[in-house]
Amino acid sequence: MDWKYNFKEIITSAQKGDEQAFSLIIENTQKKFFRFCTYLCFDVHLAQDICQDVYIKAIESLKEFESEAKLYSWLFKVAKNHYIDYSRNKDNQEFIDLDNLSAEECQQDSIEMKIEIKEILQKIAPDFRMALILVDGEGHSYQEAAEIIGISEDALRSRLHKARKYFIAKSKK
Amino acid sequence: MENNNNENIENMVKAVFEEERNSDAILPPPYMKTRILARFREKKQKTGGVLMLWKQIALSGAALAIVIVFGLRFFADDFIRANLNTPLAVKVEIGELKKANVAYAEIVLPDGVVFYSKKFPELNKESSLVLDWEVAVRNGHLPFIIEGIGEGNKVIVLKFYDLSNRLIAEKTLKVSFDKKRS
Repeated sequence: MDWKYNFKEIITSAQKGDEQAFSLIIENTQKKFFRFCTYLCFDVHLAQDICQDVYIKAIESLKEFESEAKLYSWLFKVAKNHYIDYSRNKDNQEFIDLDNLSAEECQQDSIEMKIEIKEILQKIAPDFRMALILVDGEGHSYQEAAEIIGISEDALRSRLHKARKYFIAKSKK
Repeated sequence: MENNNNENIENMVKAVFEEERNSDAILPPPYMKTRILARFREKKQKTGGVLMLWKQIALSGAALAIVIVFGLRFFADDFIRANLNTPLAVKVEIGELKKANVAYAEIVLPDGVVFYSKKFPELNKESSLVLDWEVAVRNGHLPFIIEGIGEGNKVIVLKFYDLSNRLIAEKTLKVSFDKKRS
C-alpha cells in the first residue's frame, strides 16, 4: 500500500489491529518523530523509550486522522506529555531564563566551533524548546504548535521570539 | 527594521534546523521498529486481538432500550429486565477500582448474549472481550453494549486484572431478557 495515497486506509487497518498497517505507520513516521523526541529530550535513549511508548499508545488511540500532519500533531502532543511526566520525576534542571536574558548571554560565543542543536536546546526550558522544534524544526504553524504545547498562540510567539534570539546566538559555526 | 531583524533571525534558525534535517544527523536506531512491533504482538496476544476495536464502539446511534449505570459495589442480586434483541448499554462505575492498579478488564458473556456494535458487527461473535483499562474507562465508567438474543436469565461476568495478570476483582451483572412487550 502506498503511504500517501492509502493513508486513511492504512490508519483504519492499523486501528483494527493489522500489524502490516501499523508497521507502515512506524516506517513512514519514525524518522521525523524520533528526531522530534531527540530534540525534546536531548537524550537519545530517552527519546527511544518515548517513541516506543507513544507508538504503542497509538495502537489504542488512533483516531481517523484526516492527514499525515494530524497524525504527527498527535504523536508530538503525546510525546510531549510523556516527556513532561518523565521530567517531573527528575531533579530540577536549571535552564537559561529566556524571559530575563542578559545582553551578554545573547552574544555569540567567541569559540569557533559548531555547537549541536541538541546542546543548545537542552539549555532552554521545555516550552521554549518545543516552540523552536515545532515551528522552526518541523514547520508547524503557530496555531498547530500552540495547540500541541497547550499554550496560547500569543504565548507561543513570545517564547519563540526569545528562544530564537538565544538559539541563533549560540549556534555560530 | 525590527520586523526585518526578527525575520532574519527566524530564517537563520530555520536554516540551522534544515541543515541538520538534511544531513540525517538524527536517525532512529534500526531495531526501534522491530521492538515496537514485538510489543505490539505481545499486547495483541494478551488482549485477544480485539482491543483496538474498543475505542471505535459508539454508544450513540443505537436503539438503546436502557442505559444501566452500575456501581461495582452495588451490582444487584436481582435480575434487571431488558428486551430481547435490543441493545443494552451498560456503564459500570469504577469508583472503588480507581486506586487498584487495574491493567485490564475482561467481560465474559453467557450463551444468548452478544456484544453490540453498529460499526463493528463482527464483535457479536466474541463471547468475551479484554479491555485495556486506560483505553476503555471514560469519565469514571467502563461502558459497553450487549444484546440479549436468547430469552431468560443471563449472568455477565466482569473480571479485573492487574499488570501481572492477577485477578483483582470479579463482579456479575444479572439480566433477564424477555420478548418485547407490546
